Amino acid sequence: MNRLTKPDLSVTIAGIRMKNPVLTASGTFGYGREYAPYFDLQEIGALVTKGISLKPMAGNPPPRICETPSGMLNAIGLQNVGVEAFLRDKLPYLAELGIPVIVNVLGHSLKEYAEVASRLDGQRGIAALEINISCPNVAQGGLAFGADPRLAARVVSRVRAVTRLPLITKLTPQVSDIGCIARAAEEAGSDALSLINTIPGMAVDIHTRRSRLGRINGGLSGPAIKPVALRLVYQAVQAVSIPVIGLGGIRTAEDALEFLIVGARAVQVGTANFIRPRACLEIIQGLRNFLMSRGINRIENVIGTIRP
Amino acid sequence: MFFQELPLKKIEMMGPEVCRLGFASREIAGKARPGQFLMIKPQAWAEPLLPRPISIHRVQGGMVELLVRVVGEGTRRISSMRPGEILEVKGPLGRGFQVDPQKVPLLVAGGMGAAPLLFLAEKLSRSGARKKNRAPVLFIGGRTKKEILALKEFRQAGLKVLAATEDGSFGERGLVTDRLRDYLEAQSAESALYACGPVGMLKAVAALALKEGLPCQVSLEERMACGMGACLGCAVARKQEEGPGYAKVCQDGPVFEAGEIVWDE
Repeated sequence: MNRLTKPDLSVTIAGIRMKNPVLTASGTFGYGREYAPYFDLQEIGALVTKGISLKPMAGNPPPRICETPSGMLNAIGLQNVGVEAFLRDKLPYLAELGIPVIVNVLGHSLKEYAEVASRLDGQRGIAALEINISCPNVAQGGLAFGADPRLAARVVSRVRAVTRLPLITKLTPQVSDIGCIARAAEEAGSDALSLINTIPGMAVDIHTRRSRLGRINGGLSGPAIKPVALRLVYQAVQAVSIPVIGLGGIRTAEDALEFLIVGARAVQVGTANFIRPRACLEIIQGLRNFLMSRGINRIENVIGTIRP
Repeated sequence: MFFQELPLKKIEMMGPEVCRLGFASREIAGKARPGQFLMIKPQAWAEPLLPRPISIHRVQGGMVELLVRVVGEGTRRISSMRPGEILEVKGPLGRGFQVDPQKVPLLVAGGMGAAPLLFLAEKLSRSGARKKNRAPVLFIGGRTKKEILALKEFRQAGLKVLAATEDGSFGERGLVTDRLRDYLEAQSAESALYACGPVGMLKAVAALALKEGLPCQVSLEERMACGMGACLGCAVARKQEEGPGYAKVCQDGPVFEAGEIVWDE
């Protein structure tokens, strides 16, 4: 390959063509606009919104975050504007960006997932839904659905029944057999998977003897969870034939490449956005440089190339 | 808003716990308003992982100065940086003080709360708010004299200074809010309060302002990961039409009208 030619970073997942395999992770990129002062959002492969529920959610009492070794705990509690305000105030901006917009959907019941999904169905500017069955920070719903293959399948089926949009099911790492839950989501009609969500965790202030979070437990993210995420993504890729999107602690192009090599067809970048607002852009450039320096002309030629 | 990687120009300890650091950025200096803050961390992916929110202490020409109190590992790492090392800086962020030029500014600083108020004081001084008998007043307090920061700079900016320390080592013995209460009982001029300090102090200032019917803005602090409205980590309980909810300290603040805040939570 001519080294001056730009390599092809594009991937197609669940019928959605993305110009590169770098997506934003839900809950770390707001509703997109928050990052517009820092870079041209059209550069990213796809944007995944904050999780959207039927009604607005106020979220958990503070403190909501704390730093831990190479990571952070959060207990935001799915604070979001609700589906109606999302459609009215947030989607029009996102729809004009010219990149695939994936809306993260959450619910406290099967019915709520279906209601949010059907409200989003047919709206201009939405490329796919990501079903969040893995948030650790609410009392009901979230993780409870993601930890049980039968419940997970029921959520996916209910959402599948009300929308023709491609569905990505976001999985929790908090299961004993990731392959089992991955297959359940696939069989229920999910077009792709994304994993991992945060790992439930805790930190204590030894002076006050209270949790360092307002809600006792939180979800761990950041570089600390990358090896855990990578293994689970590798296992999920073995278990299903639908595309897998990998996430968990990705900061750099090298991190992203590890996920792609084990078989993820794309990656999501989360906590790194908080630290370096142009993290996605830096990773995309790093992927391009990696391919060019090795004379590889397509990112597809890297995906799933793990050697025994 | 900018995200820049800048060499530290200067850094000095102001005592055992507080350091003052400075860097040059025409862009940030040009856009910064009193009460706004920056997210800072040592360069690249070094620990601490997350940047720390630090209010802007001073802007002089293209130089930006910050005061950082060492409260944990993150701020300890920042305070141990050396000139020439690279600082990641995001900002200026948030909503700063909205000054009412018709009223006498009363600044209330508790401990580290002096940091953003110096920027405000110097701005007031430059914008000529020091008309006869309308010079801004600074109420400043801390536990001991060591906690009274930037006194010389406040005086140079033309502020009348009324100080209090809990141990009596500087100014009057007692709380800064005691001095404020005495002042408000005696004075008659139309004034506006701008406060930054520990939450207990802010709550007391808000109560005084409510009692006297004075406008009052408070600068709040909360842990945050991004500083730009994305992580939703920095929640503060706020009164809203539909009942109490959470505002984002980073975007809706850090400066709020005292009456907006639910102080009891």
